[in-house]
Amino acid sequence: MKERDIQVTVNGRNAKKRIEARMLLSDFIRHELGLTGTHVGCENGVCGACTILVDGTAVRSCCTLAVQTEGCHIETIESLGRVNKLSPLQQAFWEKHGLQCGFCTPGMLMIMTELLRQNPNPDRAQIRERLNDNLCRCTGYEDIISSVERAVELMRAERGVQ
Amino acid sequence: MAQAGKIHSPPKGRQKESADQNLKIIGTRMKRKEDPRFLTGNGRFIDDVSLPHMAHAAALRSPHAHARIRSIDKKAAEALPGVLAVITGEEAALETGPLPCFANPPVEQRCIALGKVRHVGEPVVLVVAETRYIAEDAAALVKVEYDILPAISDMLDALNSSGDAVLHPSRGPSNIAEHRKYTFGAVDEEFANAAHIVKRRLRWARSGGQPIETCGAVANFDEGSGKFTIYANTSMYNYIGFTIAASLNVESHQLNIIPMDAGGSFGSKLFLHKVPVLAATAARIVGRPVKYVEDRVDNMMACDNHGSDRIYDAELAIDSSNHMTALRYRVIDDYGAYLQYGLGTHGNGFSQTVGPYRIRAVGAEIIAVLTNKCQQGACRGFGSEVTNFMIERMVDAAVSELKLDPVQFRYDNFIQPEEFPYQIPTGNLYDSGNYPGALKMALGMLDYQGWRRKQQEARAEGRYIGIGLASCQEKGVFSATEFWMLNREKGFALTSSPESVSIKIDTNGKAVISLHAPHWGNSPETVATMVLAEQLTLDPKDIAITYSDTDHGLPGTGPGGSRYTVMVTGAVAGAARILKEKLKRVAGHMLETSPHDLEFSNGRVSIKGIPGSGKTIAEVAMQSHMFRLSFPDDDLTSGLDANYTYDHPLATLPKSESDFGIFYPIMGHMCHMPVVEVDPKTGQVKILDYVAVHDCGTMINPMTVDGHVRGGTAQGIGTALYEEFQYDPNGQLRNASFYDYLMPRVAEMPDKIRIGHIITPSPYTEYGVKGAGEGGRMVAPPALAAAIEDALRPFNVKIDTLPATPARIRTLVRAAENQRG
Amino acid sequence: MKPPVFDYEQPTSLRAALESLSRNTGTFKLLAGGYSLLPLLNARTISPECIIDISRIGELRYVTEEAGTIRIGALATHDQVMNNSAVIRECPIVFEAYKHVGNHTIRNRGTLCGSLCFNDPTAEMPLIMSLLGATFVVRSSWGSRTLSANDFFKGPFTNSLMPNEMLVEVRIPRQPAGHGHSFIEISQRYGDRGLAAAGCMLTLKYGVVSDVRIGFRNLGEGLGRVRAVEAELENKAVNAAAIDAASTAARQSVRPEADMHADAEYRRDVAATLTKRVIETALMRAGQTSHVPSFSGRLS
Repeated sequence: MKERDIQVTVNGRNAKKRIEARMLLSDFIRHELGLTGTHVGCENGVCGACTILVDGTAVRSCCTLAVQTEGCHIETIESLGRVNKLSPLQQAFWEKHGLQCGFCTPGMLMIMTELLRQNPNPDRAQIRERLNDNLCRCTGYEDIISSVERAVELMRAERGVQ
Repeated sequence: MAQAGKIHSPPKGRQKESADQNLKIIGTRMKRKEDPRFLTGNGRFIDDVSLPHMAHAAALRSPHAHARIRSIDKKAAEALPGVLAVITGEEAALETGPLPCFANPPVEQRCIALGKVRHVGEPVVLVVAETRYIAEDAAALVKVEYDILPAISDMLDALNSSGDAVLHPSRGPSNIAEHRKYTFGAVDEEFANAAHIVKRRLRWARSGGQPIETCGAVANFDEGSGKFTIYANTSMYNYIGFTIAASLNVESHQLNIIPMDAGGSFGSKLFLHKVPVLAATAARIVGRPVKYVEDRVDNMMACDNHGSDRIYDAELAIDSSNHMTALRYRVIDDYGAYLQYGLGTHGNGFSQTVGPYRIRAVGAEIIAVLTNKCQQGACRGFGSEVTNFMIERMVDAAVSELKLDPVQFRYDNFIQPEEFPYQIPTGNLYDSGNYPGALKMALGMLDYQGWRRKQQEARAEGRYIGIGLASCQEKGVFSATEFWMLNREKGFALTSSPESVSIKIDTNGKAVISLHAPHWGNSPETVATMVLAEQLTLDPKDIAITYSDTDHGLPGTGPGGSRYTVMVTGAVAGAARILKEKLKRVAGHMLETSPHDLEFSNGRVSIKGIPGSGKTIAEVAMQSHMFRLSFPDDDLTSGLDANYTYDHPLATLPKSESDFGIFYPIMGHMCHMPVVEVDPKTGQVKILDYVAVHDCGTMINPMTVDGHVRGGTAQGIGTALYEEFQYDPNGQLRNASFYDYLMPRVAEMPDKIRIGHIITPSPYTEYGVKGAGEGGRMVAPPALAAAIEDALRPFNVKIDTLPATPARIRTLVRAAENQRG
Repeated sequence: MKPPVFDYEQPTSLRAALESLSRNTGTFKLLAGGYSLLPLLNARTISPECIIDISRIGELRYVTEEAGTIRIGALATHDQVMNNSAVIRECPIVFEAYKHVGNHTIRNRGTLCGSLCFNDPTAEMPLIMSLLGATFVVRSSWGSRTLSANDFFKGPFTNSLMPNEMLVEVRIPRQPAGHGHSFIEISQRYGDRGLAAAGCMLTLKYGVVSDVRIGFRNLGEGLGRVRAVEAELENKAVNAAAIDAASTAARQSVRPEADMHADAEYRRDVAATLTKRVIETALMRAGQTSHVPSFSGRLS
């Protein structure tokens, strides 16, 4: 079949569409669902700008067919904090200048969301290891590392308060 | 002829805000205004634009480097359901003319190849369809027959090509597009008197900006008004956007360009023309809005913005007291298939062609050749980064041949802090600087002696550590006047490169600043906000930023050439002066006092010396907007708004081909010192430490300056070690993907780039700000080349070719090993 | 860069998948993780008529150890394999080589078997499986066969699967106790496709080496284990001369080609260097009770 019905949960909401089997997950998210926060850089699976979480795991959405995610829980940049209530990770990127043009940022935030869920206290080497997944052409990465280190602090403080 | 040296009666500047004042907001590490929207996925990038009934375009790319198009069969493509149009070069040319070109005589380029393809990836057909998927399906069905022509891939072959190998026969029977000689100062005399002459052949390979976002446009044509609306991630639309209207054969007021957030540029989106013209051409033909966004392959093969690609034969004259006196070079530059900016990338280099040194004379022979490759455009440094590489490699060559100390030799040759403003032989002026201070700071931060000791210890263990040093200029704030002297036939002569802002303070005292250039990944909103907040003592939260399109645009040249922070600061300060005057006038009436007795503090217009007195800006704004009859019946008008156009702070008319006048005077400086370890058996390089000292004058926001330093350095590391567009002998681009075009990831970066700042404010710009945008990429390559060479000193190899890949390094070492036997 | 039109099937059992393979007479491709396949589809380098998505066949997603044999199912991800305790304990070279396989996001989803079938000449795992003496369990609707690495791998990007066959399991036999190992890859950037790579496993007893396994990646077509190199060490006393001989043999045995990143001569030259280094490291590790892998070594 060249077309298929697909039903997924995106950022907690159900989405149901009939799409071509060949439709890339990145195009499905961006153009079928209108969630344009996820960006596409290379369509080759190299740059990582399009990274989203599928069932909690970081996935290159430009090298994934939307139909592969049938029944899955998808999380995109839009699931994190909003402008008036940034998540600790977003807040940390803001404080530590973890972005310049902002194009790779959604992918960066999603791989780091995955990392911090797996390991709430990563050391610098572990942050660098994970950061090596994605390309950023603006920052030289150092301020992104500082941002994630800051996020760890913020999240630790948040846990302490609770 | 321009005499190099200190200028004793320096030009009077127009600076109104001096650097030595108490500043509250400028100079702080304020969090960026731009960020919250990007952090939440609310940036507005070109591919996010979606218009009703929008169609999608895909280009069929030329598989050949050089060929005549014999025939195009598009029947199968047109028959595919969902296809709206299959547009050939001939069809496009019915209404769309050549693309803008600033070389004179121009080199004609079409948005879709007309008759001939000249590089791999050049659009041959543009397909418009209901979806991008269908457009690509249809492109695959188009059958094109080509007559293959000889492809020129090696720039040296381009020097002698003839016949069918000539890319643009209408421009002459050769692929040498320009061959110019410039003499600044008594070059021959200095060389005749030299005690030593150092010679090197240097090779700088073609790389590119390669931002993570490609170029794109969404165009709509309104037949009723005959007007195009184009959304695009371009810059310079308020400067030379009218040339796009010319390409489209409409009047300039029949084109509105709406800027989008650019997902990085690094020069590569300086002035997009092909992409918006393609989208607009298609929109006019199909009568619907059309989106054309390059995919990565399009961008790598045909973005029109590859970087410089040069071979230098350089000579440096040194006198008997080890002072450099003159520099002479012949450079061949492979511009690719077209020549959009003429020799601009060499004119740019003339602004700082003696580096930070007291070199008295410069001779340059420039040979620009055309080959079957993507054309050059802008790439962070605009050619000056290569000039820096050449100068610093020559300095190191001198140090090595004369067995001198690299640090002392630089100290002995630097232009000294008391010599500013300083005129260099090309006629350009360096406004201020402290080069020995920067070097001294770098040496201290690095613990130079400590690393020299570690280097000795490591060598005893058979490990090869090297310390690099490069002292380079970072020219800021271009004024395109040098173009007068670059073209063979005079053309593209202008003397303006302004920047404007419009500021409105609304009824409630909130400010809106309209910028007339786009967000490019730099921090224009942050800078404009901070300067206005400083001027009016407003809370930065009460300031919003918008970007005006060309319909509402005032003169704006946009980011590029490390100019935007300087220029937008000047524009905001200028507009704020107008606003302050009116605020004081209105408040004066409200307070029944003279405007001269008023000042701004904590968001109030208050009586001088009495903080908390007077009225809040919001109170004054309300009166100004809503209560005209409360004021005298004079020339006061309602509202609070100001437009201000800030012109280049210091530029003069070019005088002759041996004196370009002042065209790039706001001179930053950088001293980088990397430490590397090289594995001589495999040629691998690891960066162990990295110190970067920068001088960009007064910093509006040190946090964003540091970001530029780090990001620019990362790109410089890429240029030095990894990045190179590789064309095979047939002109095929072998690495048109992120798999094979190698940009640094975090693993290639040192753990920290340790940054130091020397601050020598410009006497010519508001607050003394200098440019900082291009920074690291303009210095890291020679610094790393020096470090590798230093590490491999026992093998006595020369790092004269970049990128220094493992294979290149190992080949040099092997040759040395073999020679030693 | 968008994929061409194709049919799509998503069998949920191995049986259904094998039936699908038998039924499909046109061109088709199996999709597991997709990170090798999708870039080719996006670039339209391939245009299969049908994609058979096997990623939902839960029964194939396993890594188990039985009687000293580690069995890795077709859908076990790289991550699953490299973090499996038996794999880490029994064949530490797998973990060492995995440091060079793509990155976390790739290993999250990419499968070992997918990578073996794809057989990119720069990929690490085909060599590692050769060194480990792994066997390849291949099935079709009609039956199954078990192949050695030598028989499974063909030239670059090819394997010996018939169109109706599928690699369902890789089996790693018990490795020599106390063996030494080393894998070194040279790439321009960390994690890139390697310019050249070498791996070595050996056993050291009373100063004599045995069961020497040495092989290369990206240094010549079809080059797995190289007997000529191994022979310089096998059953010999360890000394510098033997290592040099092996190194020289490597230089003579490899048949590298030039590409955009390095010329053939460079590759031939580093083959000798890598050989020396992997042997030295493997010797150093041989006999050690446990080599605790550290994953962040290169990046820290």
